[in-house]
Amino acid sequence: MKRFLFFTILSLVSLGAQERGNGIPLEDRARTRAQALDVFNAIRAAEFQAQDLVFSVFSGQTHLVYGISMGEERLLTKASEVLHLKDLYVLNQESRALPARVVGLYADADLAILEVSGLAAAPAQWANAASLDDGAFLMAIRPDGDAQAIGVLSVKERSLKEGDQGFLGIEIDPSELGMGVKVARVQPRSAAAEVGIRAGDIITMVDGEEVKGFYELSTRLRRMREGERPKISLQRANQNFQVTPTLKGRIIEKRDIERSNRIQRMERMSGSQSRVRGEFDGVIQSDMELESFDAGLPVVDLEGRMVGMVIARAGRISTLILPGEDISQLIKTEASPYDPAFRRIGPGRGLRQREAQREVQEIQQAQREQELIRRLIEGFRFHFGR
Amino acid sequence: MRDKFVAFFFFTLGMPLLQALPKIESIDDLKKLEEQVQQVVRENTKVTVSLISPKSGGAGSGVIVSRDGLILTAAHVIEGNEFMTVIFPDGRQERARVLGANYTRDAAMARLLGEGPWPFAEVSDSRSLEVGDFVVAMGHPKGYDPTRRPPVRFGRVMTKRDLDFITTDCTLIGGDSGGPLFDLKGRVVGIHSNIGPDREINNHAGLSGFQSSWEKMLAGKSWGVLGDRHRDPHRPVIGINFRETPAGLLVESVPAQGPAFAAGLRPGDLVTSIAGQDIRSLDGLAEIFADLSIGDEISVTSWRGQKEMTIKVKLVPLSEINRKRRR
Repeated sequence: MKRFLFFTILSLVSLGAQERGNGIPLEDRARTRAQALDVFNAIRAAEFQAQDLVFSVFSGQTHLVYGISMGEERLLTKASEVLHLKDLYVLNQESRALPARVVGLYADADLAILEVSGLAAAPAQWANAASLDDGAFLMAIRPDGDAQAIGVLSVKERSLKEGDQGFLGIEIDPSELGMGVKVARVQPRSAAAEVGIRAGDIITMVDGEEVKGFYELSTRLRRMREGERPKISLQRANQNFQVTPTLKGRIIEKRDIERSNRIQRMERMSGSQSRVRGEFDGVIQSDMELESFDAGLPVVDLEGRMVGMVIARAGRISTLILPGEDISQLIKTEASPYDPAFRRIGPGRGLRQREAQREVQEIQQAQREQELIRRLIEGFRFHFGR
Repeated sequence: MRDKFVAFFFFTLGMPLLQALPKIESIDDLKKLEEQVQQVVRENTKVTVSLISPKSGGAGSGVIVSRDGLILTAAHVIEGNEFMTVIFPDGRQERARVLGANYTRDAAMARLLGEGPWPFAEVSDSRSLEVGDFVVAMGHPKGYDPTRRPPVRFGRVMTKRDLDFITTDCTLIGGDSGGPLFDLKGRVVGIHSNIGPDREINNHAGLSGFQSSWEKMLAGKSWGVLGDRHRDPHRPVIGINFRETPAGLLVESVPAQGPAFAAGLRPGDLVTSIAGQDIRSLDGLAEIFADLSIGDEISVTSWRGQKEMTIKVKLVPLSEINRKRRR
């Protein structure tokens, strides 16, 4: 054991020497590595039950992801990393390759059920993640009992689905008025347009509470769901009045599709990312440093309870975890059958793409109409001007 | 040879400190650590604010450190702004006036305009931090997001750098800049500044650097440059080229156009103290000059033979000496 440790430290230190570019002095690196080894040894010594329930999924020579036992020769794994791949197999506890095939899907959660003939493992007992507080320690446990990573609960469960949020459909003038916010633009066909909110109106209150500025307003609105009906107090030409719009789902406009290049560059400075990593309707976020092929690992707390499953690596600061209670609810429902022709991978993606396409078409139509009107007006000027 | 001796000296000195670090040997040790981290998070979520430039819409973070609403943040977050929009984790919105900034240390201050009292965190010096010490980072990555509280990141001090900068493995991303790094007692020990290509390289401006520029920033002064100070052609200088020797800093040359020459310093003098601080190395010199700006008057104590003398000199921009020299 001691020799093994000694070896690991040495190899890590020499690896550090190759990474001199990042400028951590070797003695500091040796010290933090040794400290990390202490932590990982403590976790290995705890022998969490999760290690007997997690298996590596392969195709050819390549490890794809991990899967967690559901009992009865079945594993739960990340769908988008295994679908459409040939000759799937799973390594069992004795490192024997057992053939596997996808037999069911929970497409919205990006989960697939694998049937693995000859796999002997008990079904995983999922624990509740809702009882964990911010800062709780979380560990992703590998089949060999080691932790692949240790991190903390960064953000409690929330929905990443934009479709669940309610939208008023206005753009706000960012200049601060001290009290109230000015509407800069109203999206056509939005909730705001339906109740007659116009550019230039000043929103003073939401549900009777004063609004100090842009962020207070957007925070209050974004915490509301589609279908909610907030009372909005407005000021127009010194007249006060109130409207009660019914919030809608987000209307996607072309300019929303652009994302900050700077953030994207920083995300790339951080290892691999899962292809499907957004739009989950209930995930917790951790700072565990994992790679995309670590998806499917069981996440345990310090009591050894299996509180979730790694579902995506989503960037430099974020690993996404499906909470245990959501998984146990989901697997009680019937999975949709797997059809190899089925191309929709990941949560709600097919639907979103169709919606986005329709929106883009509508925007183009609106632009064509506007262009036509502009030309008509110009033509009018040309013929009758002055 | 001397370097080796110094390294050996520090190594042996470092040993008892290394022993003193809390050792994690069991799950129970981890549970104790977890409880400390959660305590830090519980107490400090509400003091971790998002700062948004009303001019550009650019977003960073900050932390409130006094009952009357003093905010610490990064200099590059407030650059070019007189006021900042402050958003609390619960969505409440306030305004803050930008005070001063030391760009060399990427340190800045602002003050909340509304009526207090405000929730706040204690601060602590960062020089007593050790490599391996556990720390907690918070902030508002990618800007304020009403669907979540400031995400928690946990890590360790990986190394300590010049000018009180600290490197940790608490992963940061854009928008975190200016946010707080806490020790396990929940005291602010650093402010998020920048990141390296590796996930282990997340750099924070240490609180000791804030403390050494505190009064000047509070009084509304802004000085220094972001990044490498030596690339600034207008940096404040007194006009001495030093050489490091075992006895101290030896004056190698004194340009006749500079204030040090006018005050009587000459090549061969041995400088032992600057601005009231004993000085033996060029690193120490960079540390002192990081907190000084053009127009500041400082004392310089030196030895010529058996004679000690102390002079007062006013700092001028390097470009001024160079311009006069060209004439």
